[in-house]
Amino acid sequence: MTDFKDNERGEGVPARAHSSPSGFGWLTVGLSTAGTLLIIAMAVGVNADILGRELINRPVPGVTEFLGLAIVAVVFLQIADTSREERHISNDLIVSWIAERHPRLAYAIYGIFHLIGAAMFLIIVWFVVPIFTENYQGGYYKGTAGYIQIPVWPFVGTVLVGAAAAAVQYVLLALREFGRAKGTPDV
Amino acid sequence: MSEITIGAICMLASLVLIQSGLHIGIALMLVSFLGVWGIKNVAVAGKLLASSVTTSIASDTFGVIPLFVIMGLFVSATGMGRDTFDVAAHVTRRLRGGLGIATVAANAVFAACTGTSIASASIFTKVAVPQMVRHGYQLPFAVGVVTGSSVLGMLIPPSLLMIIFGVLANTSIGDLFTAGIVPGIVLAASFSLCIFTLSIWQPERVFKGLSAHDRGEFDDIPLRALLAKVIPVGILIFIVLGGIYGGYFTPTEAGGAGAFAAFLIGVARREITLKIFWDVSIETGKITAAICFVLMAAQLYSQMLTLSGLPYAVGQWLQSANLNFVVILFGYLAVVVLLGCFLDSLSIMLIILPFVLPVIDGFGVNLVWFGLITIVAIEIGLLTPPLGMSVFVVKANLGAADITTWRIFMGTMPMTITMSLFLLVVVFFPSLSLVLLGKSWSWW
Repeated sequence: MTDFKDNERGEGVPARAHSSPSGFGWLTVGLSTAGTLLIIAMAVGVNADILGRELINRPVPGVTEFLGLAIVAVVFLQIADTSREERHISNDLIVSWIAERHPRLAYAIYGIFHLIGAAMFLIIVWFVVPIFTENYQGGYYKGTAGYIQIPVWPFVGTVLVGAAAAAVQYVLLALREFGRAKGTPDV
Repeated sequence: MSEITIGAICMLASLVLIQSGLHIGIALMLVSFLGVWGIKNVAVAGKLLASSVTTSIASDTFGVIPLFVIMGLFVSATGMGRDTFDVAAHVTRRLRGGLGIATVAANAVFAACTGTSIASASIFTKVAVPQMVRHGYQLPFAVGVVTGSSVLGMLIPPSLLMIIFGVLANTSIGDLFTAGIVPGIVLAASFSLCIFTLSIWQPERVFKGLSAHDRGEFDDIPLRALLAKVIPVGILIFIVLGGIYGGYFTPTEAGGAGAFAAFLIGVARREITLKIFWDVSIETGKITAAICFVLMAAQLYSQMLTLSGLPYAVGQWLQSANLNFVVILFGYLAVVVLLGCFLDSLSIMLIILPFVLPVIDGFGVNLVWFGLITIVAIEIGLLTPPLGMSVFVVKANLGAADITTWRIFMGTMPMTITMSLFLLVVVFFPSLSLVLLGKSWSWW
């Protein structure tokens, strides 16, 4: 759980986005904002459940189910923005060693890695579509019937949207690296 | 090509890809997808891939990951880290190597109110290292102390790593938490002893020049100010641990409750503004996405390995080789430490546990103890060259160009050695971990 590329941050205060978003960037930021709100909702849910249960003997129904569904949505709402800031967990000792000697080669390698990332997220989209339609048409839900029911399809939907956005993001990153490899300045 | 061969190739390929810098999650997912395709067919591969991203972490146990992350970030956003360090430094001010010991103590206290070691590593790099350097400590040593003691975060409850182990090994998370308390305190004490001994025995390793040490260089802090610094942290620990052991909430819920408590304390101290609250929440999302994506990938990876029959074959081979438990145990620990040199802690657990749990089960091993030694061994790997990840986190947070990774490794060495000895102690004395659970069990 280490090696998050968190660069300079003040004492305890997390760093903001490195680059200001533009165009497609706004979509990823929008998705990430939705993911952030979802996290706050999860925190509120857990505490409402604990307090309700312990203080007034009224637990909040469905919190457990909500946490399980929401975590998947959080990941995919954040994944494009996480990729944009290149915050994925990785181990780039070898490539950074190459980068010191042959910077252009290193850019090309990064470019290829980003293309692999794009391909992987496209594969995810391809195989998650059937799961989405199944949940949507079947009207599947989590929870207890007649008590609380959370439909599953919106959460699977975020997987689709997030993975598609991540694929686009990776293509953009790859283009940037290939541009650097050719020696043209950043767009 | 036999299925086992495919499994073995995939394992090798994943290590190579990860080493060359492909994102760990992407590497594991890609290799597993292709592996299952090779073993079965593309339809099965797609199905497993889709279910790994949509359902493999869709439970409340994984759902609390962001809550533990946000708790750590909230605590870091308040001045509680600096306060804890100040108080510890005040208590140890007349001791040789006192600031080093204070760093360890502050880390131990901090570990009791956060569930990850990233939070402690980044905060004490900023708080403790400059202080130590100002008081004549060698920079590599100061950094080494912070790096080494940040592993306490994973050992002293609450601990995210223990939650994940509990899920994988189907072991009580509450028991794991309890089991970490005594070893955590012992490790903190060992670190302190190591620092104290070194500062007397080899002062040139610890301090710049012979005369410089930190005796009597502190202003007296009045008792009232000390209390004001201690009380908020005390309240937070009381809520988190008291809540778990008082039965008010489960260990998995502790992240949420702790985050809320840290938030309230931060607001009361006027340290958490709306902007910081939002920044912390966004940051939590990014860290969560990075961790959880690797988790999803690793689950697919272990399914692929199971399909290939490789873990089963290894298990059979180990049985037919008639190896005794000691050989397997130490072989396992060696592999874990080795993996810790180039993978992060979560990935290691997810990759190696599918192999080892069935084998270990046959020996009737206490899984709580086993989880503990696994975590300690992983954390040792994170401190050792060539690729100890904790070291890189600290270096990133230090932001100083004047210290090379290699010198940080050297500075961390005393802590690494201490931790290796500590691992042996935990291995040979399971009662250390099990005493608070009221269980007695031993493998020898």
